[in-house]
Amino acid sequence: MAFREMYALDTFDDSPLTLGWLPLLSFADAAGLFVLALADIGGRASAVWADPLFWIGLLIAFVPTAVRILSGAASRNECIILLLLLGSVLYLQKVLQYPLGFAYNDEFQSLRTALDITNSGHLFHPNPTLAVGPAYPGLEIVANAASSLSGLPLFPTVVVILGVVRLIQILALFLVYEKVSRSTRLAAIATLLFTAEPGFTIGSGQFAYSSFGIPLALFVLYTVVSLTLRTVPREHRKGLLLIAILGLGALTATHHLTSFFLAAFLLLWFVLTLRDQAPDSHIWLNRAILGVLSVLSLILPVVWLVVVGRDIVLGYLVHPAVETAGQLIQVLLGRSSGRLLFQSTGDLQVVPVWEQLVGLASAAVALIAQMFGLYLIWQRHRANVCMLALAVSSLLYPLSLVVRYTPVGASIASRATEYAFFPLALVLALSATAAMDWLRRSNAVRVLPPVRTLSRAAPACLLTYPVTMATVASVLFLGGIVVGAGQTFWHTPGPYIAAANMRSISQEGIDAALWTSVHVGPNQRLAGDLVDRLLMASYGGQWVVPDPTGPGDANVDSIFFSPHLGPAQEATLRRMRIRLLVVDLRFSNGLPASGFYFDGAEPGAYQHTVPINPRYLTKFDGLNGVSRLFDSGNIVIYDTGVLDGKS
Amino acid sequence: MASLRSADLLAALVCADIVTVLAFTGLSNTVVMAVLAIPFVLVVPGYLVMTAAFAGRRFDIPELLLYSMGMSFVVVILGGLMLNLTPFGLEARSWSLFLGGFTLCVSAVAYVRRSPQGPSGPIPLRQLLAAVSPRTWLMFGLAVAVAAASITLAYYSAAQQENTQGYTVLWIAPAKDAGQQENFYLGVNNMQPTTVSYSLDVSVNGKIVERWQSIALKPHESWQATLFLPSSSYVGKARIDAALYRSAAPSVVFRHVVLWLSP
Repeated sequence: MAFREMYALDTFDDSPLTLGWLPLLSFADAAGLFVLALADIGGRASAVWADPLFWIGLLIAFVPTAVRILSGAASRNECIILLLLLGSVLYLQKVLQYPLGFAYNDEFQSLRTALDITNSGHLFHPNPTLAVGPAYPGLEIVANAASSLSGLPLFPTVVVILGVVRLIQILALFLVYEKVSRSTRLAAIATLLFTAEPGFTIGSGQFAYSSFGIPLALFVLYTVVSLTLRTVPREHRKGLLLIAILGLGALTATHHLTSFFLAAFLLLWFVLTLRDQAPDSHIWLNRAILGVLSVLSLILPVVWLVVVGRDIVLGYLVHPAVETAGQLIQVLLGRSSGRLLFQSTGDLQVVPVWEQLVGLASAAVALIAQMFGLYLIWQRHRANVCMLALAVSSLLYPLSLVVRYTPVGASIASRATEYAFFPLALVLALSATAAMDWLRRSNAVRVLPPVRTLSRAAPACLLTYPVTMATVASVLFLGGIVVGAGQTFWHTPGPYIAAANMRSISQEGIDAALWTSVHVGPNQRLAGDLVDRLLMASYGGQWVVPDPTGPGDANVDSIFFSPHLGPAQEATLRRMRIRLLVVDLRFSNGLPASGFYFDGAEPGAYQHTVPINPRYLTKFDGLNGVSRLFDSGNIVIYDTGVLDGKS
Repeated sequence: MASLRSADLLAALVCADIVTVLAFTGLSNTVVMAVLAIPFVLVVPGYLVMTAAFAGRRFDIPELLLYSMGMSFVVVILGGLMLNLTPFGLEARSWSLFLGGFTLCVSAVAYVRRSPQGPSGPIPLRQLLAAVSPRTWLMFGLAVAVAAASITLAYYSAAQQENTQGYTVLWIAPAKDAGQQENFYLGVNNMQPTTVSYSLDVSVNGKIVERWQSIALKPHESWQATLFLPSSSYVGKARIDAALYRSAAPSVVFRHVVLWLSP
């Protein structure tokens, strides 16, 4: 069954389930997953074939689905199931990498909040790893409900919850795109292209409040879009309105930035509805609904922000934005050099040239297609106010690319890309469908000289327009992963790497953290490197300093970087009441992958050329009054309680 | 007919009853609870809201799935914020009461609002699944088997990596309880992939006071000892040293911990 243009989308789609290529492609997805599992096994053994296998596994899952969806021959149900399967495979690749427990830095921040809720039964406990986290406990509340009722440990519960969140995200994307564009074909292609979002494969399956914010916002947006349809029966409007309001409330308690982005989008949409000079009663009603919901979507997060801690939230949100804006201005004025992309720090392999080229090509393809898509929207769809609002929102994408060139802008850029890709995918899909229509009409693929040469050797089916477009989509998809990962160690698990996010997590570190909780007691003030601070704060329940999300503290860093524990360092220990010090002796064997061992304020941060001197790390041995409580070979825990005057 | 028409509501109520009873009898660590509780939290509340709010409307499957899952998250998050205001807080029994009560109330509303002439069920599953041939089921089965094999493979590979990265922990800690300040604890955790034999020396201010010649520990096995050091036995501060040796290399200190005590 060919694609149907759907103009009455709230009617029940009771067409028979036509599976098409679904059985075969579901097997391709499973095969892709299997290859990814093999890549992970290779990664754990440091095999050279692990990285190529990672890319092959992803392509086995992505390309057949892309070809089928772009061919336009799949039914609506087939498209939706294919997209759900692809989304699930891309989520499961993260689970396959680290199937035994939490692994990413952000996950330990949420883990601390979740454990505090489980232990106390109440919300809003201070979190030393992410001060703003407890103020937005939506995901942790769901984890608490499912874990405490099912009796399952937190990790498997969270794996299931995030799998469901992925399904919500795919369904919401497809249905929003479908209702806004009134085209199933566009919706399927846009959802497919959304998988090229840099964080979709690499980062978004994490146990972090941001992972849940966007899917929940898309769910609310779908409800709002449904409300504005002409064909919605009057008796259903109240129900949809109630769901939208409750959804806004839940989103407010889940993620700060996503709440504000949704509010901004709804306001933009509302403002654009005002340009209609001769509104009918339906448009008036839509204006009223959008006006109420957009104002509410702004008021709720502002009130929440004031109630839960204005200073913490504003400091967290505003400080990096101001810093990035300042650096961007400096770069634009030529007063400072921009960040070099794909630059690797530490002893790690440089990102291969082909990956760099694919990453750059994906951004170039996206930008060109975006311009073309924007032109098409203006030409053909400018009467569609919601689509116009999405087109305007997609302009965030080029801005996010510019921000990537600032030294501190990478994390802000990745956040901005998450929000920009939702509207961008629809704009790109519009370009893709127009290009495919042109290719189909003109048979252009076959007349291109290089393709003519190829066609002598290649089967005819490989030279069709869906394959051509799937190739372009694959460049976007792979480029998104290259940009999202940044460094190759994100692709597969493997041996320990110093200061390398999930590659620095080891059972040894987790056991050390659990030991402190049992034998020293929780909530001791503790200093150490970034990864050990996160482990100690989550599994160990300790109060770590400084805050891992903050800019760092040069005074605390000097405790580890000075050759001797002098009066200045002792004063810092006393002033900050630091009782426990965690030292990872592996640091003396390798450069930090993230550019720093402890935090960005340490001496030589981002510019280390030699590993930290081992004598600096072992200087606490033999100090009068400093106990060496724990020794696992790599990790040593010291008690400075005597310095602090406690023990 | 009425019971068939509301079979979905009945199933939700039965699910709520079982979960609530198990939560209150402290049997939450059962397979039944694990199987029922996840959909009870992640799907049922939203589904019930949809059936109550849109009685008479037939959703297509993707929309119904989205609303059921999305709205369930909304209900649970808002419910968690409300439970936080109660003295019981967020724990299994309060969750079961909240979600059980919610299920009961919303099911009642859905039942009343559902017209006898309305759609008999939300999903014509039989009609949809009629298109699936045995050969197709076989392909799906094969895909599920390959996916399951991938997950199993990844799990065992990760577990094996963890087991081969062995380490040994030596630790020392003072007693935390009041009245036991003269006790301190020593422990050895063998996280090596093989059985290892250790020896341990403990000295106070440089003088050996205790020696264990052979501590043989299997993989993941631990050893612990409590030592008593009366404060009258030393003047000023006491430095307790514990040095762990492997029997295979008895002259090389393998792990070393230190505890300073003040009278």
